[in-house]
Amino acid sequence: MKIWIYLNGLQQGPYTIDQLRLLPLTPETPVWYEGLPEWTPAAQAPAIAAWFSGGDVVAPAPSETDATPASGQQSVYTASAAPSAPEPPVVERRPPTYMVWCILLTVLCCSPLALAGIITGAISSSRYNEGRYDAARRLSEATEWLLILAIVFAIIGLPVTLAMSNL
Amino acid sequence: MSLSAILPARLWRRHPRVVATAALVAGCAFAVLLAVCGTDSPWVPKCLFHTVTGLDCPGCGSQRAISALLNGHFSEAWHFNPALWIGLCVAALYAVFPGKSQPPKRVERILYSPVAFIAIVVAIITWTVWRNIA
Repeated sequence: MKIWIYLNGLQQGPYTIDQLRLLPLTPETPVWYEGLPEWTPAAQAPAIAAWFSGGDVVAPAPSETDATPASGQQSVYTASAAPSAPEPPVVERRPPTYMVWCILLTVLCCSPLALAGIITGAISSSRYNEGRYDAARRLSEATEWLLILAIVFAIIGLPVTLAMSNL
Repeated sequence: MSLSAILPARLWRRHPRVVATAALVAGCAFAVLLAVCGTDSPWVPKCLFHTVTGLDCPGCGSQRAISALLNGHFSEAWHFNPALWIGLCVAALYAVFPGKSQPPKRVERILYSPVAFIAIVVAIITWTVWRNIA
């Protein structure tokens, strides 16, 4: 089962149940997994609630070996996890696809650059869906640049078309 | 990456609302010009693509369509460029669902699926080809 949590102001996940045990969950921590209608406090999510009802709260365990208690989640993680435990993945937010601007430019200004922007934005989004966040971010930036170019060309082209149709 | 540090990109990213508002205001001013003067005004630009190639681009007719709509001619507005109105609806969908919710909503899973993007690109290309041969 894949579980997402909202911790330290960040949406994180997906985690497995076992990875989740290593995190400083409180009964109020919002969690979500397939089957829950929306974000639910951990104590009310059926899959996890048992941890809390038994008094078996996964509290941030103080560690004598931990030299940097300031970095909350990380310190708890290293303190309670086996050294070989893999780092749980963190889900990034989808980088902007600029789809709104691309479509508007296509139907209003007709720029082939905007059409190219739709394509790079689409590939960026697909990379994001595959979990390849770096590629998604680079393609999102490429889309941004195509849009900037399209707008610059439109602004340069404006007086040109006005001159061509009036002279 | 360092390219993104120059002015236009930073302006765009740091003040997305200011840029969007400026674009909206400029757009409205232009729409008023279209509504009042019509598309034959020397101040209304002609499509560069059409001027050079003589072919219709996917956006050709949008100015006439907006002008017609603002003067209350709804049927004409649709026929000048249906792609404009469909495109505006699709753009509005993407504006309402930026695809950032985690876990993704069902609508976002559809909007940001490869199928949706391919459909949009194919639709634009088909429309351009069709309007030029029909």
